[in-house]
Amino acid sequence: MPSVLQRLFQHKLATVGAIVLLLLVFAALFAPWLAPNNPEDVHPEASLRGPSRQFPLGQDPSGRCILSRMLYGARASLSVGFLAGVISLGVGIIMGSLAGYFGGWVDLLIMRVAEVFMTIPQFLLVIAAVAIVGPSFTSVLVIIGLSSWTGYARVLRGEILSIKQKPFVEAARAYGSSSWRILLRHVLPNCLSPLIVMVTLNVASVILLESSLSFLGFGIQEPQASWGSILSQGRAYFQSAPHVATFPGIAIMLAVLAFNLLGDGLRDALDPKLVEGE
Amino acid sequence: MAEQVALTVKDLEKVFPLRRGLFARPQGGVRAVDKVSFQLKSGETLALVGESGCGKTTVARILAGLEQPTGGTVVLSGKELDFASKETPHILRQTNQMVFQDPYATLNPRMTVGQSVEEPLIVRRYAGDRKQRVRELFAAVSLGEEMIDRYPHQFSGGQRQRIGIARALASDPKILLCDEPTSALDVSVQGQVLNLLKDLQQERGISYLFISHNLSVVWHISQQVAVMYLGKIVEIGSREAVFLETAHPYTKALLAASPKVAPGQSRERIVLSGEVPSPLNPPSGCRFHTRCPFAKDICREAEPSLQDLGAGHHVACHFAGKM
Repeated sequence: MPSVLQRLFQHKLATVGAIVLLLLVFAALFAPWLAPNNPEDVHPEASLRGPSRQFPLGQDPSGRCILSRMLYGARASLSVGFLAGVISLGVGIIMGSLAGYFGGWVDLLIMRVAEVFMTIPQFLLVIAAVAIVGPSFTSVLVIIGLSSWTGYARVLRGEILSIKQKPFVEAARAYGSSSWRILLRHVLPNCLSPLIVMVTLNVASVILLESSLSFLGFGIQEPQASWGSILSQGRAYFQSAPHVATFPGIAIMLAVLAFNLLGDGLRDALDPKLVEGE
Repeated sequence: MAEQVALTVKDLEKVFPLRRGLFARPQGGVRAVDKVSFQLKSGETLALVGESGCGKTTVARILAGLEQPTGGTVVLSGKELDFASKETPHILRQTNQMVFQDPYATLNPRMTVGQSVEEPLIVRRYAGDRKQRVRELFAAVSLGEEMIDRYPHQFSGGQRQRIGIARALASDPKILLCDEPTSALDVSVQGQVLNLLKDLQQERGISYLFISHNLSVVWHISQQVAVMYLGKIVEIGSREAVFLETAHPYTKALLAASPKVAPGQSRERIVLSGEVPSPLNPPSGCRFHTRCPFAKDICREAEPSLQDLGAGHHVACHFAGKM
């Protein structure tokens, strides 16, 4: 039986997604070496100039190098994506486990809180919270992380409800395992594959959310670069200097698309029906 | 030795409350197990037989400490346990272990089978060499050492069932509650698992509560047989008494519906019509009267109690021995 990774790489689009992601991560990690210019050096005399030998993707309204800013922006976008994804996954796992495994009033309380969260559009919630706390890299990622746990909690709760009825869990109870041991050793490990898929899809939406926030000026603050803020600056000059908005737009699209492709492939690779149907 | 009692169950009762709506009070309930009493002798097998939904599995789950009954007492190695106490399930788990029906769900798919068998040893703080003990347990269910590090999906149903038995044995149980352990297996594999259970019983003196609806399996493995219908025991006695001197019309119908298993078994044909009535609303009087070909007025009015036909053979029927 092929392993999960082998099956993942049989999926062509997922492989493409994984490669694109690896390239983006590589670009973000090595931005200081890859960037042709200092991303914060302004050249007012060369405002909005198109691609040239020294500035391969052109210059923004202040004459800064767009390619260099995008490479540094990749760091912001991807790390917000990953970290906020990890935070929401963590909160979701804790909440979903408590609700699904312990049930009763804990379940009732957690799921009602989750529903309240879900009735408020996430984007509005995040903007309001950022407006209160003040925009910064940390506040953006914590707020996004804390506002998107509900999906994980719901999915995990459902998984746990079905797994905890299984004979192997009952057997563990019958030989006297503690509740925590059953949860951590027997229930959770069998509930995680749908969450792995959700994380990849969620990271994509977090990247989009961060870009939107930065576009509106609530995200990563100047002079630090973010794909969303470069796009926002280019918006006013879209007719005279389309390159400013186009390149960061393409980067956002590529990143989101790559995560979605990878997520789809993972979904297929982790499908328990395929895993167990030897 | 053979006459020692491993477990006595008295008036065991389990009512599952029914709620309609979130805040509604429970409105009545399903009597899954109703005043069930029996004795399990050390080193012997008591088979529980009956149609699906008659409460067999619930009895086993209560005795495994997985379900809290609503009434009754159990005497375990001389100590009487009251089910009102929260401690009772813990005490039951010390001596009783369960073997489950579905071999494909009985093992944790993310653990090697060796880890699955080792878990009870860790949980119970086994003092000796755990790996050594796991190897012994695998040998006890005739599985090779090389299988210890494999995952459940690499095994057949029969092998998984044997690993499930090894895991139950890891807790060193005095009583094994087998919930249809062979019903999901091929016939040839069924035989292997049954013989393994018989051998283990002889070597270790474990008592079995064996749930099944396969009467030839029951004949093969048990000394005592109890027949349940809608949560009640309708006939209980030695294997020979129940199979050969059958007194309850329901038992007769069950025997008539399966191929002849015991030499000298009567060939009387009783064909049941209709469905099992809903346990939500069981019939008045004798619960079996709606389907019983011999039902008279008294059966609709009075509930028959278990009467002794001698030699531990008890039957709940107004016309026991008169048909």
